[in-house]
Amino acid sequence: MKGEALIRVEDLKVWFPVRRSIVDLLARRPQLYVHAVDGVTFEIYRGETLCLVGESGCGKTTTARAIVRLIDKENIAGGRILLKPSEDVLEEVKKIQPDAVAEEGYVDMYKLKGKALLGVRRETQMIFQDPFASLNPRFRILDILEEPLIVHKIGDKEERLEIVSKVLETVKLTPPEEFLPRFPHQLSGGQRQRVAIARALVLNPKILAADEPVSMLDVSIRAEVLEVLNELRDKMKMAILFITHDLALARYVCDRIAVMYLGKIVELGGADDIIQNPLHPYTQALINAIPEPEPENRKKIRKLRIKGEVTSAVNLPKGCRFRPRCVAYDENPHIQPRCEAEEPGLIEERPGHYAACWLYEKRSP
Amino acid sequence: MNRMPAKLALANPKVRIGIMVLVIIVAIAAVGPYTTGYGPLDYTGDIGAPPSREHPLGTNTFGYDVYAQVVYGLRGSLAIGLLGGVIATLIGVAVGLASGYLGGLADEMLMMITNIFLVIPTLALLIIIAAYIEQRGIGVESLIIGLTAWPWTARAVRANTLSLRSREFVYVAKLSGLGGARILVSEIMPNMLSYIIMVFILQFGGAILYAVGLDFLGLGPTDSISLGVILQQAVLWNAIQLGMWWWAIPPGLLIAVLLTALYLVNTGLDEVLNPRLRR
Repeated sequence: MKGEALIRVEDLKVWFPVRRSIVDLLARRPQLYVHAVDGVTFEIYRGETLCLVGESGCGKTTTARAIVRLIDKENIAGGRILLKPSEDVLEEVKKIQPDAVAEEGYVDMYKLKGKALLGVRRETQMIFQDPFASLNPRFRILDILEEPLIVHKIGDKEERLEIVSKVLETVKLTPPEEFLPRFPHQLSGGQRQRVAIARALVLNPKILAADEPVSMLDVSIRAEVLEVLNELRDKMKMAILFITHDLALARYVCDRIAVMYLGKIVELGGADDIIQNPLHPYTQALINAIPEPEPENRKKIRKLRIKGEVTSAVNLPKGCRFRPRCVAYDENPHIQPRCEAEEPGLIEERPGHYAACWLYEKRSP
Repeated sequence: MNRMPAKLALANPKVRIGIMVLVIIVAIAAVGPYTTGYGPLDYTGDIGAPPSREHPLGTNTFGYDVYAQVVYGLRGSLAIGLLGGVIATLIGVAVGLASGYLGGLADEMLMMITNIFLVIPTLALLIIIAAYIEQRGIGVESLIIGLTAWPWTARAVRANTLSLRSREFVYVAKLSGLGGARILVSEIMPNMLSYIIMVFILQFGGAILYAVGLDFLGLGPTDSISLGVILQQAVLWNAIQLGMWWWAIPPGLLIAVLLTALYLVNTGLDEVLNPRLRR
């Protein structure tokens, strides 16, 4: 299924400075950083959904925001984000700002500025978690959906109305005329989220980041919204970065899953591989925590294979960042020195299935 | 959402009463001058006469018709309130929006200036400025009031902007390629319009009160009349001690009623717009 990658994230680091008090400044204490994203590398191919899974605070949302460039440049501490825009946008960027074009038809998201950035923005969109916050309460649905078209100077009034109506049909808000004059507060949560999706789609993006798009919705309407997203991905051949903390959901929507812990990807692989055969101790604990649907099995008390609390992202432990919570670390004394000394990189244990854990280090002959 | 608050606001008794009183006062200012044959500084021939058919509010020591003075003075006071209020609100909103949205160094600088203005004793500054300008009209007076009254508005608007700019719909707008100025004006500002209206009402009342204070100290307009100027003259020429209550009480009462009405509208709107105060 490998095609061409639309998104290439290379060793991305996003650090946020911790605010210092005057006393800290006077004492010349070093500036501390929250390592929200700390060296993340992955690719998303055309027509593929990659899920980022992890607990809150692990940097999933920051990664998504970085991809669509909602993070300020000064917080990008390293690495780069390469996107492959469509031919015409690429030509445009080449003309206006050739220094932002990286190799093989990619553009460097954080080198773009002004007009060139505007062009690329047409093709990158994001859907947010809370449909009650992502729609401006003062705007009618028509205004909300028309705004991007006006900014990018697309069509006249009539053509825009047509585009907007079509998008509303795509997200199954029909008939469009009934929704256009309404205000967001007159819609239900599911309808609002579909308006938010429509807004993201109105410019025909190639790259979409969806930040927990269904976690605020009732279970009964989740499937509907997910269906819309899956259909769109297949029809428009988009690359979708789907963020969730729910592994069961990830298996339903995603082709591949990347599990994040404290700003790093600890496991990456096909959705089924990861669910059925998790490698990293953290993923194993996550899968262990999925509620059991089978009533017979429910009575068995499962022991969660994780201990302690999430480590602070300001002062990271030396060596493997998962070590303080790792049960495998306690059980495998032979790798302990390794875990303490060095941070593991992604190791390909099976074809296309990577884990960042010393357990899978290829024994040197 | 757009039309609802207007209806809700009018359903609030405080807002209703306040607006009714305001309408009456504005009507007096608008129509009043046409109901009297005298100008505010016309010598009538009667000196210190009590209210009569000819002079509804009597005349003062100089033979001016107090009714004519009050209706013309009301115009002057409302004009100062309006102009001063608009100037203060405009500067405050502009500085607050810019500082809240830009952040960083711009924010620091703007807030530094704002804080400096905030701690300057305003009345003292006003007195000094007013004393230096020899020819003072209503325009100049409202200008100096407006230029000193904006800081707290700027701070409040900045706080509001800070909370609005991290809402997700602002990110959504950014993703669609909207520029900073456009996000401020078309995404953020409409969401604090109700707040800006309340700020303006407060500034309006505040400007009138400050003007009265200046007038009372004899630093009011030199070429025109306002309620404060009437009061100042009444006190200066011992109107109350001489039993000429019609000279001092009507303008004072009018100021009190006007400010009370503004206060009612403001607290009423607060109840409507702040759901926690809703009964």
